[in-house]
Amino acid sequence: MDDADLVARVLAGEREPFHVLFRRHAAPLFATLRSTLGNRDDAREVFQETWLRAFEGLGTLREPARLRSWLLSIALNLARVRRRRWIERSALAVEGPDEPVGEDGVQHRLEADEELAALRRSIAELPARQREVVDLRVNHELSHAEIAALLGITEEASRASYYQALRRLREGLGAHAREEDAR
Amino acid sequence: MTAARSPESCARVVARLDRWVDGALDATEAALDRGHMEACAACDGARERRLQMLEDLRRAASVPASAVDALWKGVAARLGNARPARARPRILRVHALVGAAAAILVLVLLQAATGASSPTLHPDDLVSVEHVLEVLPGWSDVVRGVGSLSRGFS
Repeated sequence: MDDADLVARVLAGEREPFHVLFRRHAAPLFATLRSTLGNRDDAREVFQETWLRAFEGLGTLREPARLRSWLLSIALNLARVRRRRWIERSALAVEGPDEPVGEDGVQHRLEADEELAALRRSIAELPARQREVVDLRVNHELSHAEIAALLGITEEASRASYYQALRRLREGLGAHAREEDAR
Repeated sequence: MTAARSPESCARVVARLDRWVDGALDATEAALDRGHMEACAACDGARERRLQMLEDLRRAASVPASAVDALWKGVAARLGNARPARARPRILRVHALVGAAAAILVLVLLQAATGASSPTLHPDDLVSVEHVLEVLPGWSDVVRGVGSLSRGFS
């Protein structure tokens, strides 16, 4: 059953199809927020708010087949608001997002894989726009046209950000490999 | 299609390898580079490493099923008894606006032409208006819009 059918059933009053939609889209959406916000607790709050707004506003979704992009636009807008608050707070006190962390106990297993840990660090060091584009392209498999529409940039800018990010990641991993070799 | 191997051709292939993997090259360029990589282990290795990095990026972003279940509990608790709001079809909203604008124009022209004061409704007429609103819910915006705006003129 595709997203459009499930959305129609939710709008008809059923609750279970919403759970199906959640299971289908939750993981990549949460990964995006974790990457964007770099903080698990904030990511969790924004994630919950995203799904709440999505549920309440489902009737306003004009193209149910494009549910994923719609969810992402809600999540990224909420994340931007959250980041803006950090900036405002940081004017009063020196604080910021935590280092990116994984989900409940899984992080330790991931960190055991040194290459993956190095990749995570390299991702965290990317400029925000490049990090967003890489996430949307690789994890959500959106086209550059879809990414451009979502982020309010041109398709060419999306491509440029993506290729620059991949190059930086390779360079970062290359530097990491050299450090490992030197030990 | 194949391409002769040379340092220049290897440099060209590697320089646009990200675009090749991304499916951004046109068919001719993509076929040319594919032919090169079939004959060039070094460039094919570079392609393999790029694909592996994309796979690693997906692994780095993965969220386990147990975490998704935990997240659902939080979302479900916040949803409570909420219900999705149904949006009115866009077409009706457009009709309502166009209809209201047309009706206002007619009223203004009539008043200007006749110099008449605002019309008054008999109680029986009010009952009829309520009946129309029930029968044509989609056009209730038009009627209400005209009503509220015409009151503004009186």
